[in-house]
Amino acid sequence: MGWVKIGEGLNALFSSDAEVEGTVKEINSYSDSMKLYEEEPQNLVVLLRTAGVTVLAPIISLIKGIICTSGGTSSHLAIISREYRIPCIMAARLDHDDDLDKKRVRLLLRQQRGYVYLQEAQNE
Amino acid sequence: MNKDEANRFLLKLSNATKTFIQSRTLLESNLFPVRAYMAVGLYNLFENEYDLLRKVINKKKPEKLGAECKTVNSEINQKTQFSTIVGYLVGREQVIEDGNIDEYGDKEYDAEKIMFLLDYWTRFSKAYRNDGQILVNDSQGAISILNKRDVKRFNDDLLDNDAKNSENLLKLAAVIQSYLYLLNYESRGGVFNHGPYQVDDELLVFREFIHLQKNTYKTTLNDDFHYKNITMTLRLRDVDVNLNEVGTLFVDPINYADKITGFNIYSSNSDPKPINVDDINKVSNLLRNRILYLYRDINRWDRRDKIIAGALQYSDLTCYAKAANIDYRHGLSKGVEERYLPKMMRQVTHEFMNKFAETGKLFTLIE
Repeated sequence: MGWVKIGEGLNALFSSDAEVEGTVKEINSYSDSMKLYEEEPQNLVVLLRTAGVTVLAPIISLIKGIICTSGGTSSHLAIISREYRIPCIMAARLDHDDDLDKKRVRLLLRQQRGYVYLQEAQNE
Repeated sequence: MNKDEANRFLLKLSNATKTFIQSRTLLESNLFPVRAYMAVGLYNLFENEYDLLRKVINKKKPEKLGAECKTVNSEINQKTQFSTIVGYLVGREQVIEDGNIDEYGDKEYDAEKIMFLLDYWTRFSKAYRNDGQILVNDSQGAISILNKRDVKRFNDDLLDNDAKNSENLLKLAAVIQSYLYLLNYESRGGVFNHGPYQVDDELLVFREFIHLQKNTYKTTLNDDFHYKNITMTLRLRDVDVNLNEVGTLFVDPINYADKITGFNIYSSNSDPKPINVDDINKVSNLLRNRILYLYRDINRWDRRDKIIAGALQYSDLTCYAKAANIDYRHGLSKGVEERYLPKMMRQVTHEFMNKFAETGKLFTLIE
């Protein structure tokens, strides 16, 4: 199975390169986070619409990658992702914006940009 | 400071504030109504700040206050200065946008207040910052405040690094910040960094985390956490270090654990005592427990609670009153509680906030 690029944004890790694969879970609330806290999923990539970081507070150590559709490299989410050294893409523009939950993605961070790839078979 | 000088300063601050906001965008959070509480907090600053700082300056000159803040873990620092003055200016613009500025006095009084605040900040900075600059942007991303003797003292006190310690140390810094963002309702309260200080061909950076034991607006945390403040010193090689206007640290590359050539970790205030390196993971675990407790508790708050909590956080001037030994009871002023809190209960964002994305000056010049 190949990978198809579905979006890109800012590399929150600045010029540091990184690459990570995982399964997407969109987080919009306290309940979303607490459910993940109980389940402790492996290879978790979270998708967020807002650039605040407190909603992730109890699960941050579980997270392997972050996609955020807003914010910038000085947003609190970006700051904390750097502190935990979690690959993070801010202000991401995504082709499959509303259909990523439970899909497998690869985040590729190169220089100032971050790219989101979707595992191809899931997109058929 | 005269009106022309003040207006030049306002133009400069317009640019600096826009640059700062554009690098992070206006924050919103899934847990807190940040834009709404920020607006209420800034109204509160606008209503209270001038009178309080007048009292402070009557008791302690800006030069003396600035000199006293050249220490580790000072509650008044570059971040509080920028946030307090810019916060007042944004609060003023909210009132102008609402069409209510005339209720707060005539144009001459408005000008007097602005000139006073900008003059205070200028004089404070000349004493506080080693280079006398006001904005971090004017110092190429550096905030240098400690004198040479203190830098030498902390440098002499550094421990040799090993891979395990540096990883644990950086993990602790990350956990503390997660905790402080939650404890301060998504704001940067309690987090500050300064430096870099050149030591031979390497850089010394100070990471300060303060008010770790405080309670929230509605939550009483248990007393199992014995560190009021935590300070980390990091000596780094082969990295780029930059800070922004509120002392956020940017280290490039971000995986800099192997670039740490020496470190130490302290607790307490102006006379820091080292924390045993073996206790670093214990401290992290205690904080993780507090994060979970806080997270569950805050989830029970309603929107009004969250707006009040955040607004109080954003407009807290207690550190200034404390520095001058002035009686001060922090709270929302009557006008803010009766008029602006209800307004922002109904709105996500104040109308003025749209101007951060527009071209042109942000702050109205004085007449």
